[in-house]
Amino acid sequence: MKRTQSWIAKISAVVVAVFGLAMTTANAVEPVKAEFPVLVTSFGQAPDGNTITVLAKRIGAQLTYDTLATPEKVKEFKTVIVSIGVSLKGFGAAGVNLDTEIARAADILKVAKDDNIKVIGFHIGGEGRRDQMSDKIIETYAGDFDTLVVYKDGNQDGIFTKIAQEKNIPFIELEKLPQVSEVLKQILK
Amino acid sequence: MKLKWQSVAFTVTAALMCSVTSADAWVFKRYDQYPQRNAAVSQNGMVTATSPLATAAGIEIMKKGGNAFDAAVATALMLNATDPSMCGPMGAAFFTLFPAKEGKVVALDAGTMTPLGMTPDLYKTDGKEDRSKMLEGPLSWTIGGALAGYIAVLEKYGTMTFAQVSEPAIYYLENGFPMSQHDAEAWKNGFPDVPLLFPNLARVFAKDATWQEAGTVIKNPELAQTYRTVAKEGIDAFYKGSIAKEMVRYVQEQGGYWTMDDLAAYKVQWKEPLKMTFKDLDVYGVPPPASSMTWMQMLKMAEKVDWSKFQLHSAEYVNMMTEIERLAHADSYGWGGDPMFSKSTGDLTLTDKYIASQLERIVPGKAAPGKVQPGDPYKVNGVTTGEYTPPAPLPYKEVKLALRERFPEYPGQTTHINVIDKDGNAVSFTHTLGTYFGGHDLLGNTGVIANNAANWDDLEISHWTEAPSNLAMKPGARNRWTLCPGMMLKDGKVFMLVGGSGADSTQPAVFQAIMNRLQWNMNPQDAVSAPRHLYGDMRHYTAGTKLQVEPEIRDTNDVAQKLVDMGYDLVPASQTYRVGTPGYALMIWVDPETNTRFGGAETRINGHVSVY
Repeated sequence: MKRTQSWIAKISAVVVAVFGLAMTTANAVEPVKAEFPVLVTSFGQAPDGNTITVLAKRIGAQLTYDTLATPEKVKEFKTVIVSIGVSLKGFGAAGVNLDTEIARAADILKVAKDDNIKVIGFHIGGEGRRDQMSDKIIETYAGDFDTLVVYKDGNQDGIFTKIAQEKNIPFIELEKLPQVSEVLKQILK
Repeated sequence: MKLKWQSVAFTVTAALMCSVTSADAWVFKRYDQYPQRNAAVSQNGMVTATSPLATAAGIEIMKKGGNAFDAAVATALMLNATDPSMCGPMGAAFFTLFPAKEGKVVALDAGTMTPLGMTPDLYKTDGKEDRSKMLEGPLSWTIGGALAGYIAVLEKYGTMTFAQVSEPAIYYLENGFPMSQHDAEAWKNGFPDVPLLFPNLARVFAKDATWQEAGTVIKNPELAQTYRTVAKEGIDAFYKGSIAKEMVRYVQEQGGYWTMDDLAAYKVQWKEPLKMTFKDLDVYGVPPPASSMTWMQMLKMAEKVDWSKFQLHSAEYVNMMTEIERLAHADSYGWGGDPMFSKSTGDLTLTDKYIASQLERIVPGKAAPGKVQPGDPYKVNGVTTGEYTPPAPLPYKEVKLALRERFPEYPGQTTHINVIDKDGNAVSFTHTLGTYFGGHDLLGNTGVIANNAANWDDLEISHWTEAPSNLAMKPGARNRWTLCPGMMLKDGKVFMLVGGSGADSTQPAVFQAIMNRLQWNMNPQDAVSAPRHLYGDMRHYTAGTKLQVEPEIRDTNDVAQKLVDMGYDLVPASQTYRVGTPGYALMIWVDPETNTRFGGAETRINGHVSVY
């Protein structure tokens, strides 16, 4: 077993060296592959969902972006990508607050579980999206995703790593932001 | 009926009470309640801008023997280099210029022009308006005139070559400049995801698609090379030659509609300035599609009001100022388009007859409900026939902006420069890319940032008037900008240079700063730093009763409650900050008695004054 792990580490090092990809996985669970159609929504109204949608389009994947998607809308899709992170003024612009966002998130996750819809969480806003309110959403729901993709800058305290390990969730940590596109290719191909 | 008589009585009384200025009127009063820095003072050259490196560049040029026009261009090029999110050679620029020997003010329009292939139907999804493509990316990019404007100023009034005035900027483009805390935070908070979405921009400004921290040294040697090419080959290199080819190649590769013909067709427009009087001053601005007409109309209305009956920053004062601002602003949306392509007028909005008709619409102590509508200066001034009935406000309804525009981090931005030299030559001009980093991309390997001027067009309907828009996008037309530089003369000599930034909060900011100087005797620094109010917000389409008042005003003398009682929808205190978005202003005032220049620069952003 130890020898196998050692080989995996060596191969990973070679991959990183050759391709410059310093993404790491915190556990041995494979990230889920998205099934289409795919919805992108936000838990917290930060604009990162738009980024994901645009980057996906550039690699040829057409996703539907709805920052305020309802549980009823979620039922129309086979996969939901959730961008996690609170923007206070985003709340104001959308006319929501933390309580309503948390309630919407709970409803969406319940529908997803009942209807066997895959949910992939992205936290790509870095440290800037690790305020108290973002953390409340992370602590409450990050354990309910089928895969977590996190930019390292937002995981300096290891909160996502811990949740992923405890819940045995496939976990991808990005060293650099441009790797979001690489991950989308993996998940959406 | 009762209200109308009240308005008429008020207007007549105000007109009778209007006082004539005298030399004593310019004595500064102390305003100790607002912590300020001192106004800068000089007998020679002075530059105000939003970067210390830029003001220093302007002064350096004047010390080397250049005049105000040489210095203005050097300052602009340095801002392009060191404040790149705000302005650039492919942006828009509007100038008021005073060559002292000629003794008259001239205006220059170096605004942005829609390429012939860009039409409103490109911005519809399923038949509905989709403004997201106007905000960023190749369909937001139009043909900019800023560099053509700088060079036109230099060629007509300057004494130095482009190679000489671009030297300071090229040094910093090649050797780097350290980012300020303001810029680091503004870039990061402005559009945090832009580096990820626009890798060619990130290549220069955001390593690893991450905006950099304060103190990081930024270089843009590609823009330095572009300036060197222009210095060697002339402006044609930029609009017709090798630089143009590279820009068009990149735009087309990204899915945009520029052609070499579009670039080659671009020309700056020398214009008669918009002119009016305020008491014994001659006031000048740039005609539409610049927005000087907006604060000029505000000021002309203010001239007719008896301000001795008001206490500065009282609820009654904020009410009167706000209602004046709302009326003038509405006209800007009605009549501020490109005169070659739409029914457009600045002059007719400044006549005594029209100003009187506008003042009649104000009910002191009340907020006009809903969306205040443009008046009809053509009818009031007898250009068109028929009885004039002032339009009633429309009910306010929220406008669905482009999705990304609704996020807080969207800050429309621009930057203004005032320059005066020892001989009394002067320039007041404003230049912009639209929003932070304009259209969010570098044009190939030229180091030139694209503007997003398309975002300032309407498509068909004006969200303000809910009628076919005079500001609608048209191929070949220039879009309305909120840029509104201005200049005042007294007895044929420069008296004030003024302008600002902050999208649609600019015009009220400039107006309030002028009032602070002329009516309340603040020195220029106090005038731009004193607390302000802003109705609506800095974006388009916000013509309702929303009112943001900075804390020093809001939290004293029960002002907040009084304004609510008048009918304003006051922005909650928790969302009102001293450094919010009440526009940004810069001012130089010249004492007519001593010829001493006093300068003030915005404290809410990185405003600086340099002198020698």
